[in-house]
Amino acid sequence: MKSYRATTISLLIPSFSIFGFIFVAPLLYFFVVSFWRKKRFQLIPDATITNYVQVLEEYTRPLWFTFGVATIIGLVTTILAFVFAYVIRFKSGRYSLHLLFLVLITLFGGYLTKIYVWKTILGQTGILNTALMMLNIIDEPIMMFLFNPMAVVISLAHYMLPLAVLPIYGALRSIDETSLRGALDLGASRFRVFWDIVLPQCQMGIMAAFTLTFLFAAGDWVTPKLVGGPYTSMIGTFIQYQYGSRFNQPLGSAMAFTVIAISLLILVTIALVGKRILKPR
Amino acid sequence: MNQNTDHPLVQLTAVTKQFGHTVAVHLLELTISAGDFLAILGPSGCGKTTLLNMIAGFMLPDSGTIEIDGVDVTRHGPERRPTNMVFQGYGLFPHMNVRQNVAYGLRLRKMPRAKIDQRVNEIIELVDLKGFEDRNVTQLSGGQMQRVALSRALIMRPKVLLLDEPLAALDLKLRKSMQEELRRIHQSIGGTFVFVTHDQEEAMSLANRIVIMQDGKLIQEGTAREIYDRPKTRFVSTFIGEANLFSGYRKDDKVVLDIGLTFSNAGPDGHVDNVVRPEAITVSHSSGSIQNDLMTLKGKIDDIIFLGPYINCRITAAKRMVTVLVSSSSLPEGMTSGSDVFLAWRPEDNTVINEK
Amino acid sequence: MNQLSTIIWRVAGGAILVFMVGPLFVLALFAFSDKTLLSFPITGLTLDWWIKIANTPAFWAAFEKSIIITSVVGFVSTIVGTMAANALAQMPKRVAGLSMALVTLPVMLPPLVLAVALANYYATLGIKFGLLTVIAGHLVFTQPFVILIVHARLSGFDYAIVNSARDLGASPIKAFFTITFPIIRSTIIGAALVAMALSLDEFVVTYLTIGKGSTLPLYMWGLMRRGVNPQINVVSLVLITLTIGASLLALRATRYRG
Repeated sequence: MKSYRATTISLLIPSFSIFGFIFVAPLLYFFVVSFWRKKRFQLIPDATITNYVQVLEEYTRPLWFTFGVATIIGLVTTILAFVFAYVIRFKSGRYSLHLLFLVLITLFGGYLTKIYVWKTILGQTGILNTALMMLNIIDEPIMMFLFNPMAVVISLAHYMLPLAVLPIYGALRSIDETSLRGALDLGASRFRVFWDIVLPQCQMGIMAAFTLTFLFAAGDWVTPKLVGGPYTSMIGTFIQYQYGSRFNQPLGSAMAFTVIAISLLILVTIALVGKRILKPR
Repeated sequence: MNQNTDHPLVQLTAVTKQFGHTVAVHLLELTISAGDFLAILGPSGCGKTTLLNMIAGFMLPDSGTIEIDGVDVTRHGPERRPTNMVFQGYGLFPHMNVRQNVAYGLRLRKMPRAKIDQRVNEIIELVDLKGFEDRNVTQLSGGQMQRVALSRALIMRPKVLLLDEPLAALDLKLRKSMQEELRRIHQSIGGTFVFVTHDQEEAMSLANRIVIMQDGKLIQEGTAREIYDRPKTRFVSTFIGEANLFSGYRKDDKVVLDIGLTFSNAGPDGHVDNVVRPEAITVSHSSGSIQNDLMTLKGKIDDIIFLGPYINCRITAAKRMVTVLVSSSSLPEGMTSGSDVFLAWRPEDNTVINEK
Repeated sequence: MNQLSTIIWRVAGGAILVFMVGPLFVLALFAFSDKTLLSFPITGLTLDWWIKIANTPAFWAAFEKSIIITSVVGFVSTIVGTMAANALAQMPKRVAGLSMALVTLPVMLPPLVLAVALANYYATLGIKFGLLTVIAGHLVFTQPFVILIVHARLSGFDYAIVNSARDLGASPIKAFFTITFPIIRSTIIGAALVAMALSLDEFVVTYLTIGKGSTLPLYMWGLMRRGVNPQINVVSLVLITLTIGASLLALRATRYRG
């Protein structure tokens, strides 16, 4: 049997090599760099936390803003995804597979593409404005649609929606319908059935959807750049900046890991709070 | 259970339910009295589950009325009816433990915590689940889940407890012990239980009253004994227990069977079916020991199947198959496949069915 | 009561559906509009933009690079992922679960962090940016998908058949190719297509590690910097047709049932 195990394990080598050399190593190095210093154009190995301090002091506003926006995007997307998954699971009869199919298709519909689409829809001469003008609802184009945080929220919610639907749908699928009838039989109102029986059972799915959406939004750089406008200063932009023109790797690295750390904190808190609220008594 | 004895506990009048082109339940009339342990028995597709769901309120009849304890509940949903159901598959809440599952209904009624705990403990004691209160329901065995489902419904003290194929998912041994449990619980709390099943043995061992359904209609009702001894139709005679069916013709209150035997039986003239239960027939080597007033038939043993306490004999007589059931100790010596035998039974054991 | 709530749910679902799918139709529509500005009303349909794009060498260069990267990434990640999934399916559940969670980490990370870390890493090691660096980066986040998909399929797989093949004398490799592979072939193809779709669409990591070259998404980005233009619609339409097409095929191949 020993040789059998050896061959099995050897199958894992290429995969773990990729994981090790192209993921773990770069990230570890990246982490180490966050403790270095930048002097003129030279990178000096060091063990200082000045970069992190700098991030937390100088970039507090963007950090707050980023996580605020990310939370909003997470909430909006998760709620929309939940409604949609719920409809597919319980309220769409024979069309549920078709709807699921549509979700899967749009999942791959392209990242830049979707953001671009919203740029065209929300712009000054965009579809939304021209349609509203055609219908005589407004006389002049509304500038407000584009180049502000709202646009970022809409674009990212739209992009992540299909991705968020999947784990929620998966969780809803595994709910036994008989338990719902049982609750009704015992006198539960429809709201109670939802809150006591449905929600607790799909907690994990909802959390997964929120996590994916939140993390992606927190670290996004492209969307704010394309549709965010001057008032949207999200941390992703700054990270990219350090590597683009500024060339301050340690700072950029510190930013990145700060984002990761804070994100984890927020997610764990939400998970624990959610669990508490939905705990059966 | 204080019941107003002016009216029966449950009254179904002309209840009909249709799905598309299929009529699941047709103009059904049913009366259930307080304290009954009623079995709704029938083959799959006969409409029994639909009927149960209509009593519970999960389905609404297309026409007819349903009254529970004098109140017209026809249009009421399940949460408004004084019924509770034990579902096939149990429908337990997987994220809660036993105690939380059982207490759920009472918590919805906002009963004070202390009172809930007291009732929960009572019921857990009743169904013999002591010690399992804090265990998550997904970690229980089938029989234990069954009992949790039962407690969850019973704790609500419903006027009628409904059970959907309660013993179907259990293995034989468990089924037998659950049957005893259910009888014991019913006797101890004195409630009204109604269950559906396709298993006639289950119906007979649990219920004090049975109604037989076929194709959406109620064919016969009565005690197990009544239905067994006096089946009204061919279907009932073969659905409950085994039956030897002989065709014949009745004229002037006398029945002449195809196999050549006659006996008196009052009733209208016409074609009839005669049912003789296998255990009513005796086998002997010679006709000498048989009394004169018995029905007799000559035959040859096809097969003898030993089943422990009794023996099933397949006998060919008068060009047809007759099944005879005798207790193992009463089969005469020397009977084997191929033996010539004489069958005998009393005329009173003939049940004549007037069927069109 | 019940009817009303169902209607409300369905209306909500319909609205969300429109939100999800609508913009893509809009995108497709304007790839054929004869006005430069993407606005209503639409005055006519034309293929001009398509012809323009077809005559742009830069587009084809990007297209070519995309195809190369996608193919290599698809090929390699499928092989590596299938091997890994095969191994994991035969290992104890806890080990397998842990390994898969680890391997999936790259997907949970914001792509920017990965991109920047990789760029930094390559620069320090003196590795030149180019196709290889991009492919390597893509492999990191496509292989988890391949592993998860193939592993899911292998979970229900009855290894007794493989064992009987080995009992009859087949080596592990032979057993795999003659027994396991034909059975799970469609799943593997599906996983490959998913990996390709992901790679094709990828922007951030590619942007930072490709150096001088360009892929379809990068080309699109270049156009977008200069403003809104139906040509972008054309390019994006090409892009999403490829990615959605690949995923459609993948769905059919794996016979996904939810």
